[in-house]
Amino acid sequence: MTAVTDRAAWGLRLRQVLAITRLELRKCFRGRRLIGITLLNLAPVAILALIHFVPEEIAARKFTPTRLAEMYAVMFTIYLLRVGVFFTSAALSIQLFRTEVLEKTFHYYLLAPVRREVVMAGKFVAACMASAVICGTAVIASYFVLFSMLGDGLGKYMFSGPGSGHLVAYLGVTVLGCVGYGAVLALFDQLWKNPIIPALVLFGWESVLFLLPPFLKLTSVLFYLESLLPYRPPVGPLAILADPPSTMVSVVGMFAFAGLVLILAGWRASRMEIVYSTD
Amino acid sequence: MTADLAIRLTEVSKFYGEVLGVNRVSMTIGKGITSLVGPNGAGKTTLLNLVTGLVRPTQGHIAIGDIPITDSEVIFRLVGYCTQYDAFPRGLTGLEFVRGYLTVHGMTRARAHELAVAALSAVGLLDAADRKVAAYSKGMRQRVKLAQAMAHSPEVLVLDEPLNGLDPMARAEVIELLRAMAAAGKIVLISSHILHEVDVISDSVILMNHGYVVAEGGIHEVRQEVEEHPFQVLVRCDQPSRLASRAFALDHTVEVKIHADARGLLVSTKDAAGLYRLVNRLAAEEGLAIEAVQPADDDVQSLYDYLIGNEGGHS
Repeated sequence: MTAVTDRAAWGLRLRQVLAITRLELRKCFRGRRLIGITLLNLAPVAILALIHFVPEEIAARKFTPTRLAEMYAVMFTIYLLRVGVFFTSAALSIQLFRTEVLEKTFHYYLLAPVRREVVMAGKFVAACMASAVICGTAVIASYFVLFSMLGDGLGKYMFSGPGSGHLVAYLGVTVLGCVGYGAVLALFDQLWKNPIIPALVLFGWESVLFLLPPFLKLTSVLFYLESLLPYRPPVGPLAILADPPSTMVSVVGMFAFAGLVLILAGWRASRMEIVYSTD
Repeated sequence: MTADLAIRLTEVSKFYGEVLGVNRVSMTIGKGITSLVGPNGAGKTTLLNLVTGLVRPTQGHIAIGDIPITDSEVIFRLVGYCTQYDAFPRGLTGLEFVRGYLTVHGMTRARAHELAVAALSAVGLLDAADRKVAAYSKGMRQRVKLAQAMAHSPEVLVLDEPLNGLDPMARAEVIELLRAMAAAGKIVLISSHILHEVDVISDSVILMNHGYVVAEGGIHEVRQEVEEHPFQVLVRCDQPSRLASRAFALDHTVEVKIHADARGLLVSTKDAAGLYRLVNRLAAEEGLAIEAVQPADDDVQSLYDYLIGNEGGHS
């Protein structure tokens, strides 16, 4: 009987997570903030499109599949992942958590028969899905804009070469980045009234990852994500090298980390009081 | 469960740092309409937020029936709360707003839609259900919040200033709605500063000031307990001077004022029942023609004036 009741309770909670996710996704895909996030993510598409203005004879000589793969890896690591995924996750996370408190609408969830941990889970899933869609679209668009330099060779590169495998890997890293950064930033939203400052500190920390000693690299989300890249861009002469974690450790670890952070954020939410006037 | 449903507060205090929200409140709020009255900063909203679990008591215990308020998964199937916050998630229509939060209860979309339509219909907003909430007037926003709070047919409805922003007709409709809910055996707890309407709709009142409950109970019972202020009784009759002289003969009469039109008088007395007996006797035995006898200060406004005074004005 207890097992049945427990199963029913978990079934109910799952439905509640889905309902909250649905509501929150609508919030993610509307408003002026979405325009800013989209422009931020699609900026590399515009930049990469400039490459098509390079004279054809030079382009044919310079832009081999290997060279393009290197260029994309640099663009992905430096911009799409570190800037695009990070700031998209930050913007959506702040919008779904902190902005709701500032706009005095968070209490509607707290007045429903739902555990606050479930509310946090629903919001987190929505933020991850939305950021994955936005950043994933930018990854795909920029990939094809760049590799279309191959002309007729694009199809061959994608289906007979490493192209599609690399793209799937980049998309996977993008989704994992959304999960990892989304979880940390959701926690920041619970810990600080103004999560922007700690988010910028985290951004700085991630930016100097290459300078960090190996044991400190373990505390960086980017360290695990970079180990999954199909092509790792060259690091500078000042970089301190460390053995990358295995794929299994990176993938499972990222989800486990996100789960742990969510539990913590849920616990914080369960102790939260609605006193908007002092928030 | 429903038969003896009540909100029970036991020694509840809430402090915001060093600022007092409410202090040592113990009471039981039963079925019917109970109104919270007090000036700004009296602790009314804090009490409502405590009762609905939006804030946690610093001390004490709150339960609805035998369910502690912290058990949100259960308690909010019983409770609906229409807060004072005039804020809504962006971009939603009235229907989407009510339906969306019903789906968070775990209902199917179809069931949520059905209940949302019924709730919007009950508050007279069905025609505007597909318009954005942002385009609603203040009165409409108030009503859509009310619809959201009552859509799941809660046994306990908590309303913070529910009549704010409503035009007279909407106000009358909402009052009727609240009465219907009370008549159906539900607990309706409201805070309001519109004292004459509180007077009309309330089965009982809770007067608060500075975080303390000053008085609680039925309006008449509370008035009886305010002994330092004599009762004001208005009598309209054909011989007010005669009645005045007989009233002055009673020990408990404090003051008598005869109306300018010489067709009535206002008696201040410490024993209203004694005065009523005198009026009855004069009417029955000495032919005094009585037009009306009614208490002049047996209402929330008077209780407010007597117990709270002008500290901060009405809230």
